[in-house]
Formats: sequence, structure tokens, C-alpha cells
Amino acid sequence: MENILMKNLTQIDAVQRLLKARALNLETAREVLTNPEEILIKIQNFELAQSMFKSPFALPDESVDGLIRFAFTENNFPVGFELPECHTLLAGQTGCGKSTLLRIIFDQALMLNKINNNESPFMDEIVCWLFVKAPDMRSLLETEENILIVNFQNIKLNPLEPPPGMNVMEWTNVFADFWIQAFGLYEASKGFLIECLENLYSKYSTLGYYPSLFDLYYYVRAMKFTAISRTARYQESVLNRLGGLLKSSLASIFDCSRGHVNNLINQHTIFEIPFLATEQQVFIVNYLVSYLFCFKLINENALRHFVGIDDSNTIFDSSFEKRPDMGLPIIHQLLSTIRKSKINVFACTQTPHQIGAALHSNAFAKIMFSLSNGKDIDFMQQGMGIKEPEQQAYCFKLKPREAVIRFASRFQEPFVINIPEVDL
Amino acid sequence: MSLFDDEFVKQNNKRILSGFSFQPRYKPEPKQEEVKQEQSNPQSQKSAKSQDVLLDIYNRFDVQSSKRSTDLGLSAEVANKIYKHIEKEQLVEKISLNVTGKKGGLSKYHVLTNKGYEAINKKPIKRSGGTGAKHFFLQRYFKKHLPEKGFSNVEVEKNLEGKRIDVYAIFGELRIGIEICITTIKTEHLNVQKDFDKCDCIFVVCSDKKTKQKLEKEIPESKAVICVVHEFLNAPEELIKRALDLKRQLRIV
Repeated sequence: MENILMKNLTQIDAVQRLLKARALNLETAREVLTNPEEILIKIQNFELAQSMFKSPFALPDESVDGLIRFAFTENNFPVGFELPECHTLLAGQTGCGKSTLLRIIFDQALMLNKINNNESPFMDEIVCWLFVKAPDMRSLLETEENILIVNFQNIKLNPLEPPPGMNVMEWTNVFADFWIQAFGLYEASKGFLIECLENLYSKYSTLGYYPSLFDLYYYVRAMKFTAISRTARYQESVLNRLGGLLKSSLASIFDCSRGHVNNLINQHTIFEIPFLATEQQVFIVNYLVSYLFCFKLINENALRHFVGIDDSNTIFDSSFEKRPDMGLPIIHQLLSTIRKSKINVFACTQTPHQIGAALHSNAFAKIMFSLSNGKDIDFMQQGMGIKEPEQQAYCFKLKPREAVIRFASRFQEPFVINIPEVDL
Repeated sequence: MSLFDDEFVKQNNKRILSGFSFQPRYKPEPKQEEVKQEQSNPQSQKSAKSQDVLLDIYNRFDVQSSKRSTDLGLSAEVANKIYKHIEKEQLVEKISLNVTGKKGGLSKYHVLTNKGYEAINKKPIKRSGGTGAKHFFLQRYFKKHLPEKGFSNVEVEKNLEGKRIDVYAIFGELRIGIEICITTIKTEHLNVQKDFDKCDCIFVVCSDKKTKQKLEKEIPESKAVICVVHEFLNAPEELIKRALDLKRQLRIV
């Protein structure tokens, strides 16, 4: 009796190990039934040999696959995510494969759009927005020609134009929030700005126009305060930032009452921002992403948006969360509520320890490529639950296009993936 | 050198941006030349604004036409011209409905036609066979707004054992079937018969009171609760209670 029980247990163990190694077939199954002890020894030897070449991370099963495939596991399962699984954090130093991964994900999305049968759609139509600092992503035009490349010379934007259906006063608050965040102003200047905008909007409401940033500049400049008053200082601060922006290369794009932003909602777009000043990058990315978030919160439509941000520190930097006078930036609040509005954010960073909690707490997938700063590696390991010393040591030896990933559901253990090579 | 150099991008952008429009900044005293220039090409301005309106209908199908024009900053006169233009070009179909139950008559809505979808480079949303614009609009409206009223799993044209129900939803644990009735009084009778066993409550939702009155003569109330759109949207719980009471009475008999 005991022998039979022992044999059965050995058989179960062998089957489980074979399944894990993806080696269960007719031949091995027959072997398990006839001679379980012998095959178990063979499997153990195989595992021992394999451990000399594989990473110390767990080998996942088929559950890691999804509609948008982007990599392979060590045991050659495809890895992907489903559309409702929002937000992905990609951390890695330059040249490690972040952009390649971003390119693969967006390429997949564009391809799926093409094969999505309109009569019986298997997914929502996806609109891609990418904020990048290099022209690499132009190669997506090979997959889809209908992509607008915005280099901030050819389009018109009015950051004071609220999304359709949104009250101007609500938009004023959103605008003031990302304005002071981008230009490093304080609460008092924000209050002053809101007051000016309120007056300006009511002045323009009867005209059928929205005020532009130029109108705001001229309005603030025309205000008269005693030179020694505090309000004069707020006026000075607001004018200084507005003046800088409106004298820059971006000036011509702000010269409108209603811009192209409402059209961009339905348009695949790559925003190339490398030649903008740092604060302009923060301002533009914050403005466009906030606009999209607010639009989708108010107007439920059939589209799903993929938003890829090459340098997510421009909007999700933890320093924005740490200003005691300001509280949490609006974009961080929006990120946590946006899941139902069908927006997937793919945020890349080279310094994950400087990324705010909003993104870390809401990311479905965290992907760690090779990082050179110990602080960053510690931070990612903590966030991904990498606790085994062997696994921690392995994180310092990741090769290019090799990464450790952890999903928030399905398969929750961190595991190693390999990104296929793509010419950018 | 990349295949997609600046020149290629410039031409590609030009092609895409030709379908976009923007409103210039407000200038209190426009120069004479500018006025002439604006007036010289009113047709292109009209079509650009039409594009905006069509795109907005695509993005926000359930917004009243008057609210849409306000949101887009169009004066009543301009909005009227644009709506007439897109109706004449058969880019949209106009429908009148009262979905809120407020006084003041029917509200106007616009539904994109296949030609309208083409005009904004979008794939048309498939309508089931023979569905008119109003019927289709109401199906989408219910799909979007019923979850706010406590319904879940809202599905349009749900196939239940080979029979299609216009709108199907779950309320609590109850299976609710909704047949939308616009004008086809005769067929509703058959539709209700076929849905009767597959759902816990059947509602026949009419677009207006006249249709409701006609329908009440055709279908016995024991089979389905007949109501107008806004009655259903404003007080679904009361109507569900009524439907359950009727069903209970039917069983006793």
C-alpha cells in the first residue's frame, strides 16, 4: 500500500516538473506511468543543468500571455498584456531596450487596429500618443502612415481651451495646476492666475472665442498695482513666465483661440520634444496629457488611448509630489482615476527612484532593464518584491534587451523576459 | 539616413493637418485685408467647422445639438448653417427625442451616417439589420447611461438562444430585456413574445407618447411594461417593481 502511494506521489511530482519544463508529451507520460523514479531523476538532473544557465527567477506559465505581446520568457512563452490592464512602468538606463520595447508595444497596437474587424470587433480602436526625445519612433510610420509627427512648428494649440463639455472654471483649475508645476510658481501666484483667468473667460464668453495665452499676457500686463504691493510680485512672476513662453519658438503654436487638440484626440500622434526647454517640455506634456485625461473623463467614447512617455520624469517626478504648499499634482490624481476611461500609460524612466508614488502605485506591469544606479535598483527591487539574494544579484547583471518584469495580477512572481531585436 | 526624414514627415503632416481646423485668436479690430481673406473662402471655413462638428458627434454622440454648438463655441446662426449643411450632405441624420422628461419639447440629436464616418476617416459602427437612426441612437444611449442607473452587463443586440434582444441588462439579479419601439407597432408584439421567457422583466420603450398609446392597445400589459424613454431612465426601479408585480399576478391567474 505504502509503495503504491509513494509511486503515485512520485508520478505527480514528475508530471508537475515536466509541465513546468514544457516537456510533457506522449513519450514522457508513458515513461512516468511505467518508470516514475527513473524519469524523476532525469528531470532533476535536467533542472540542475538548466539552473546553471537560467536566471534565479521563477519560470512563468501561459498565463503571462496577452493581446499585446512584447517579449518572451526564459522558457519561451510569449508575454503580453490585455487592454484593461492599465499603466506600465519601464525603468532602465540608456541603450538597454526601453525604446525598443515601446516601439514593439505601439507597433502591436497599430497592427491590431488594422486587423480589428469592425463587424465583430475583438477590441476597442486604439489611438497612440507618444512623447519622445528622439526621432526613433518615426519608424512606426512603416506600420501606419496616418501618424502625425508634431515638432511644434506645424500645429496650433491653445492651453486655455477646455475640452468639450468641461466647464471653463474647472479647466482653469487644471490649467493653473500644471502651469505652476511646470514653471515653479507658488500657491499665491496660482491664486492670482486663477483670478485673472476667471475675469478673462467671462470677458470672452460673449464673443464666441477662448482667450489665448497672448490675451492672458496682455491682460496681466495691463493690470496696475502699487509697486510695493505683494500682488505686483505675483503679477511679475506670472508675466515673467508667460513672456518667456511667448517669446520662444513655441509662440506661433499658441496664436489661436481653438487649436487642433480636439482633432488630436482621434489621431495617432508622435510629439517630438527634444528641442524644447525643460520647463516647456514639462508644460507641453502636462497640458496634452491633462487635456486627454479630462476629455476622456467627461466624454466616454469608443477609443482606447495608448500614451507612451519616453521621459516620464517630465510629469511624474516625485519632486512634484513633495511640494508641501501644493499637494498632489492634478495629473497624478487623474492617473489613479483614469482606468475606466480607457487610457493606458507607458512611462519610461532612467531614474525610477525619482518617479512619484502615483505611477508606482498604479502600474499594472513594472519592467526593470539594466540600471546602473544602486538606488534605482533597490527601489525597483522593493517595488517588484525581489527579495532573494540570488535574484537581487542577478538584477545587476541584466544584459541589453533582457529585463525583469512583475505583473500586478495573473502571474505575480517577478520573472525574466527577453525583448526581440527590432531595428529602430 | 532614415526613410522618414523631415521632408517626408512634412508632407505627411500636411496631408493629415489638411483635415484639421483651428479658430484664430480674437482680434478686436481685424485689418481690412484679413476680413477680405476670410470672406473670400467661406466654403472651406464651413467645411472645416463641419469636420469639427462631425468629429464631436463621433466623440460625444449623446450630446444635444444645441449644447454641442455651445461647447464648440458656435453662435446659433453658424451652428444652424452647419447642421443644415451636414444634413443636406447626408453626413448625419437628425433625430428628435425627449430623454430627460423635462418640459420644453423634444431635443435634437445628430447621428452619423456611413458617409459621415467616411468624412472623418472613421470606421462606421455596425448597425443590426434594418435599424433606423433613432433606434440605433437609443441602443447606444442605453448602453452608456444604464450603468449610472444601477444596471450592469448592459449589452446591445444580445443573442439569447437565437433570439436577439435590443438591449439586455442585469438589475440586481434580475435579467431585464428592453425592446425599443419607434414606429413598428406590429412587430413589437412578436418581439415581446419571443423575449418573454428569457428575461425576468420585459420593457417596451417608446420614443414618444403617441407610440406608447398605440402600443398599449396592441400588447397586453401583463406581457410587458410599456413606457417612454424618459420614464424608463428616470425611474427604472419603479417600473421594474411594476413589471414584477404583473408577472406575479399572471402566475396566480
